[in-house]
Amino acid sequence: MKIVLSIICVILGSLICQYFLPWWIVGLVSFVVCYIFLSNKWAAFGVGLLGVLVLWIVKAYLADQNFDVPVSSLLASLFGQISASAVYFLTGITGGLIGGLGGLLGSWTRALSIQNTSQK
Amino acid sequence: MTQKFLYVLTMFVTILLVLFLNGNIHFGKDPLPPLGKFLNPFNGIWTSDTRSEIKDLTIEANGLKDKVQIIYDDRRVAHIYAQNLEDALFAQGYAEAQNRLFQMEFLAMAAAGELSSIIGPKTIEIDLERRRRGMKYAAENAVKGWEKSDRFASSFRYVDGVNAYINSLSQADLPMEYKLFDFKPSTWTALKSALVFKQMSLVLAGRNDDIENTNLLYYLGKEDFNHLYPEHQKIENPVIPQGTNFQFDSLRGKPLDTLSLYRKPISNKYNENRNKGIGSNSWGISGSKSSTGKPIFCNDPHLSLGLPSVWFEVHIHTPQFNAYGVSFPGFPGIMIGFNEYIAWGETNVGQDVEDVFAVEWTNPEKTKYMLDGIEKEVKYRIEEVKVKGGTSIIDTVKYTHWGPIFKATTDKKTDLALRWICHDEPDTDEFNVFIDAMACKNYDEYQKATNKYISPAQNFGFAAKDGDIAMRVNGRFPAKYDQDGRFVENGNKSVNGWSDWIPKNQNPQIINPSRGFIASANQVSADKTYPYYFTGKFERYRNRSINDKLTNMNAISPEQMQAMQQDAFSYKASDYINVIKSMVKKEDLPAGHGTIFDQLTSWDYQYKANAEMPVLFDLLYKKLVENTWDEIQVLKQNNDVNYPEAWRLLELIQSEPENKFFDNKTTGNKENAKDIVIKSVKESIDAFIKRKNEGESNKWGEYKPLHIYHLTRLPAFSEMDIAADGCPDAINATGFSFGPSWRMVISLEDKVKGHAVYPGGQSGNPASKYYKNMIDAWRKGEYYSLNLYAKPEDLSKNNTQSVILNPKK
Repeated sequence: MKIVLSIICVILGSLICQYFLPWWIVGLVSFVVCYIFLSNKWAAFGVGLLGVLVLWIVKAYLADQNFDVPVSSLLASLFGQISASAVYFLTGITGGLIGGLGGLLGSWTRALSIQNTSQK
Repeated sequence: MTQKFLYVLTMFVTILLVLFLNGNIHFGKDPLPPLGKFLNPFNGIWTSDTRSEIKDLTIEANGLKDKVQIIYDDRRVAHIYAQNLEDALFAQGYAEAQNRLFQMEFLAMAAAGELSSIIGPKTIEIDLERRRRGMKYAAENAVKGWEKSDRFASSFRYVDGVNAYINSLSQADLPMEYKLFDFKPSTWTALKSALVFKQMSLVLAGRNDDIENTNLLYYLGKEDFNHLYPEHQKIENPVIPQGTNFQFDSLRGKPLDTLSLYRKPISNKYNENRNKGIGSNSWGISGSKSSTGKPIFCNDPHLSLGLPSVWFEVHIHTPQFNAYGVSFPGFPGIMIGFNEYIAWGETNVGQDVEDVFAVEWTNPEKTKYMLDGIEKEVKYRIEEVKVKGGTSIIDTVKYTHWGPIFKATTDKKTDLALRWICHDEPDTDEFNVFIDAMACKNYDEYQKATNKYISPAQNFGFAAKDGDIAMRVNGRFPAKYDQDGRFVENGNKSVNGWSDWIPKNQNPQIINPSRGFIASANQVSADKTYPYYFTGKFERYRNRSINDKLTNMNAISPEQMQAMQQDAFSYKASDYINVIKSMVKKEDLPAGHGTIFDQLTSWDYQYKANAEMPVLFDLLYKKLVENTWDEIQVLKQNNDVNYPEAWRLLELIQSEPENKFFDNKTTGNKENAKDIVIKSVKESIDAFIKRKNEGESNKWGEYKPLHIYHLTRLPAFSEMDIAADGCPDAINATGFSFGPSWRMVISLEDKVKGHAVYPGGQSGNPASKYYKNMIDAWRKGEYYSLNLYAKPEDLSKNNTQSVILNPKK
């Protein structure tokens, strides 16, 4: 439940922030979400990765519908004859990686700060 | 402890990764686009050029006098409705930026030698060449001259229009290429317009054979050089018809021997193979020759075909005029077009306006040289080429009395300076030529409007509803002595340079010739009776096809003129094969060659995409050159030299079969012309059969397919392997990546009818359906009709986007 909620928070948070902040804000959003909600580092990585990946792929897909020639097909030949779905995946994974790392660091920071407080 | 270390390490790696994906760190020769920024679907590549998708756009802009409407039609041609010229030019700037911003900026950067700042180390050499040639210096001088005109500010409202568009863009709206190369548009200026214009000048007038001719004169000697490289053919069809009476004094007469030539070889090889295939056709017929009883005007400039296209199609309507045609993105006005009264267009003039001077240094630092007995010092211009993903390169370009030092020689004491007409500060408001042309109603007005034109020199073709047709070799030319400017000359005396200009009224020109038509195809401008010396690169075959056809045709319809623009007949092939036919018997050839030889000799000389004989003739001509000019081939290995022209080789085959150059030095025997021709026919048929056996296509359109490259040459944005009819010697002068860049036929009837097509599309956005939508129609020889809609409402049926520019209150 917590995980699903976190994913939704990452998606919504990134969606809002990305309209007026640089793309890498997705990492920071995942960081904050996972700092608040998640104590499992690897779960946090998955949450950040998945949240941003889904958001970016869906948004890219929707944006693609605005063009007469799909951008995905242009990118596909730009990247050397890969498939259009590979382009979507590449897009998703690029954002997802930063989201995932942000999430990981978020929950890790949480773990370390709890450790620090308990040690005191 | 390890936990903390790992934590910090992960943090560090994440930050590095973000920086890398954001483009703050890059390495390698071809910097990658910053993937995170680039692929991000909110304002990366996925959201480019979104503003063209908005059906009705209203913008408030500073400095407009009145409301302006830009209506895009169903081919995305911009129809501009303005209440005055200034507002119209503002809107032209806006529309061109809206569709071609990256192209404009790229061309300006290419001219200035700044490409490496976005592309990386790959373009350093190109950039340095532009710097050494003084392209930016030329553009700066142009603006310096233009600013003196009291019309400068009003004409360059165009610049404000471009900037109004740039300023309206968010990161998400930027054209794709900005995201790919990770940079932002910078403010447009008149200097950038000048740079774009100089880039065009470089393509059209940035050539000389001075170095090649100097090398040839040195190695071959005067006698052989003059024999192999004559400047005039026995029969010529000059732009200004033969027999035109030139009634003014001659300035020629200083013989070659007294010219101050630099008589050493320049053995550095520069391999500047640019401009092949650049040329154009333009012709006009008078009412006496047309089916309508009114003149018809045609123009198809052959340029390097590219994506986005060289031209932008635009219709500009003000209370003063109603004009339609193509502009060169980045520059105001309509260069080739028509209005309700006249049609105009240009073809390039091959006259040499670029001379090379040898500057001999008097000090080891190479900063001083002698001029008229006085020691002069060079001026420096420091050029910094910024390189993406690398360190800047600093180049100091030396400027002499003649111009920039642009090339070195192998002689350590001497370098070469460039005297180029396009460097000069203009003393006229030449930028208004294509603005004023839009409003002309007759030849008098057009002549006045175009008098101020300086460079790059063009044949200005003209036809009007009132019946006039005219052609003028327009531009500024130095008055030269015989042979002057054909070779590298010594730079130690100012008299070796240019002193006088040919007065404008003495430029070759004609109005309403008795033959009923005007025509230019980059051939020689005038016959030998023209009093000034003309040298340069001139076309030898296309012009004959055009003149023959127009001479023989009568009651010509506009449709016939369109068909003529597709004509793929080559006089070069026809001339050669007719001679070869008379020299070679089937018995001279090996068994198995006969049928193919028969095909060749019965070919109709049409360069059709699916024909095979053009391939065989191409192989054959290459063999003839190789087998005959072996002496020059040897020189070519280490020197810049040209082969003699095709027509001269054929003349020698016919009239001097025993000429010593036919003896191929690499064989033990002594050959004559006939031996060489038979040998070449055999070898080319062998090569032709071999290609077939190896499964290679012998169809012309597949053997030499046409590639229309994106500016950056990225295949994803280009259109490759187009099988098109034509060759550079045919009227349909399509070649490797060159060809008719705008085919236009204007019938000057009571209601002027225009038809045209170009191989590309109006939008510069590779994801737009208007990016290359017209290529296929162009390839097939189809045309679109061009309409001078009098008011925006007339476009209601095919209006695809409307942009309203309102003055800011």
